[in-house]
Amino acid sequence: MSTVRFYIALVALVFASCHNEVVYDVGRLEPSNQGNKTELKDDLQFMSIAYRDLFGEEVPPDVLSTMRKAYISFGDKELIIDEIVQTMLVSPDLDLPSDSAIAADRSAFISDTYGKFLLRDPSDFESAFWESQLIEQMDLTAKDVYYVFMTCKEYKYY
Amino acid sequence: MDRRSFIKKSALGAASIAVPTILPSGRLFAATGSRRANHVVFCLFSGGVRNLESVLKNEGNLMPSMLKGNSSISIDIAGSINSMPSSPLSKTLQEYGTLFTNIKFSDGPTGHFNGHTSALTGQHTNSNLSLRTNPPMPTVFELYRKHNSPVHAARNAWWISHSNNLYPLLNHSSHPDYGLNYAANQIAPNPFFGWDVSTNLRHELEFTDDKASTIKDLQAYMDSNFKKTYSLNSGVVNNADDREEMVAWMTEMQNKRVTGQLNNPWSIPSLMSGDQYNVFFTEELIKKFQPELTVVNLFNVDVAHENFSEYCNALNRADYAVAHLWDTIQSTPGMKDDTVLIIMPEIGRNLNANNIIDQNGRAALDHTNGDPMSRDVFCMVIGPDGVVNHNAVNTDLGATVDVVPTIADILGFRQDVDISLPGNVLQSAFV
Repeated sequence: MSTVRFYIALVALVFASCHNEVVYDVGRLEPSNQGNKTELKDDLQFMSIAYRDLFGEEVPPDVLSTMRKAYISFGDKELIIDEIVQTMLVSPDLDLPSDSAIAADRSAFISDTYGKFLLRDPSDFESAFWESQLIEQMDLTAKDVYYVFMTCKEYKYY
Repeated sequence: MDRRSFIKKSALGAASIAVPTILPSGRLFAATGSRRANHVVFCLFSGGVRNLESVLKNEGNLMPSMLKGNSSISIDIAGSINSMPSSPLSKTLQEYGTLFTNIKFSDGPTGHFNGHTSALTGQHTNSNLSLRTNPPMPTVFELYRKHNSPVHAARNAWWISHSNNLYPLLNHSSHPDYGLNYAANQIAPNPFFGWDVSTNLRHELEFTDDKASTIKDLQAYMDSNFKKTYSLNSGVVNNADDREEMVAWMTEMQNKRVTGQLNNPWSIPSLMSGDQYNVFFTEELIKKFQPELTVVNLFNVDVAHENFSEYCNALNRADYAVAHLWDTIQSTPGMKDDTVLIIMPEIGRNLNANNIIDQNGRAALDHTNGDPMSRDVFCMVIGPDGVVNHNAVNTDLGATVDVVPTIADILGFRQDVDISLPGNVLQSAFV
């Protein structure tokens, strides 16, 4: 093979192997709505905000005092935060959306929940994800969903 | 066995032979020393106890469950000493081990937090010690957890503090090579299992297996959408199984509280003191978890600042509590005959009284001038026959910083500790 033919073949080979495949991509659906949260809530803030988010009013001093006492009396803070969140969620004073209300307008429930706890709207991807979960997981209640939101990382920031 | 399964198993077998296990602590192997016992309970007989009222029995034997001798209590204060039930032990604690009568809190201000920090880190402290942050040098919990195998998880190390003020800080240090990853579980059971917390804070969301799995997946989804570095001070970290056991235990205690089962469980005629409840909860914890390293502190004797007779009364109550603790250890499978109990006040009290006079005309005692009396304490090392020298008294000079190296020696990791510990192992306690 002559030198010229060799180079022509080589260039053709390179073009053939490096040719970009045409992909009709819809783009990466990566939710990035973190609500610009940068600051970690401190312990008292977390408890106070959690109470206000759930009950719509400021936490009474005696309730805060009890929660704080439990918090500083046990070393595994995540365990205690979990207990505090659970305690609030099982309170008979808590007014939770019923299963039928959620089923009637899942989209509104999802938006409300993001607004209530994360102070932002869900992205389209997040809305779609939660809507599918609420359809597939028939036994998911408002209490369960609230628990997931209140124990997620984003909720620990403001 | 099909070919794929065989190859997988063979590969696993080969790997297990060829690759030594690297522990999460970064160590290749577990602690290298042999153990004298598999459990240590360190009772900080705290609050400030003078040798005069304890081992020297200046007011008579105020600690009849711990100390030999039946010298009667001074007549003027005898009426202020509540009667305790008979000791559950067949002989005094002193006879189950070695009593050290000449232990010094040799350096640093004679305050409770300095005393505690010194006893729990094995390091001397000074007036720069912050009351707002974790101590700078590693605690005995961190030394234990770092220099042992991963099976010695947080559930094996407990710091049971009398109050939730300051003392919770002592479950780990800020030392860069130790710290939170090696912390002890900490609990202040008196406030934690108080009426208000027990009746109001409950772990009541019970997810069934399927629901639990769904919740976990949803939590993972939510966290995957939040890209911020997770740098929470989440406290000591327990694994999921241990957490579950802890929640079960907490719920059991809370249920007992709200149903009245914790109303004077030791049947003390004058009701139980805070110290006695703290030891009671320590016993419950020991029965549940059989930890390898438990530290519990008492504190009621600090009433001495304002009432000398009540100080003596608190000493008498603490004495009964510690005997009760040893009795429980000896009836707990896994702990019986395999536990060393160390008892030591963190500091003493001043020689000279302040000007507060109690109902019996006795003057109260502070502990803040750093005189020799406020630095002299005793120490008792109690343990199984054949491990600990029984019925022995040692008058040699020792130090409160000796306890940490002694614990390290008992649990077999003394030679693995690479930071300097100024104290010495209380060698003469051991056979």
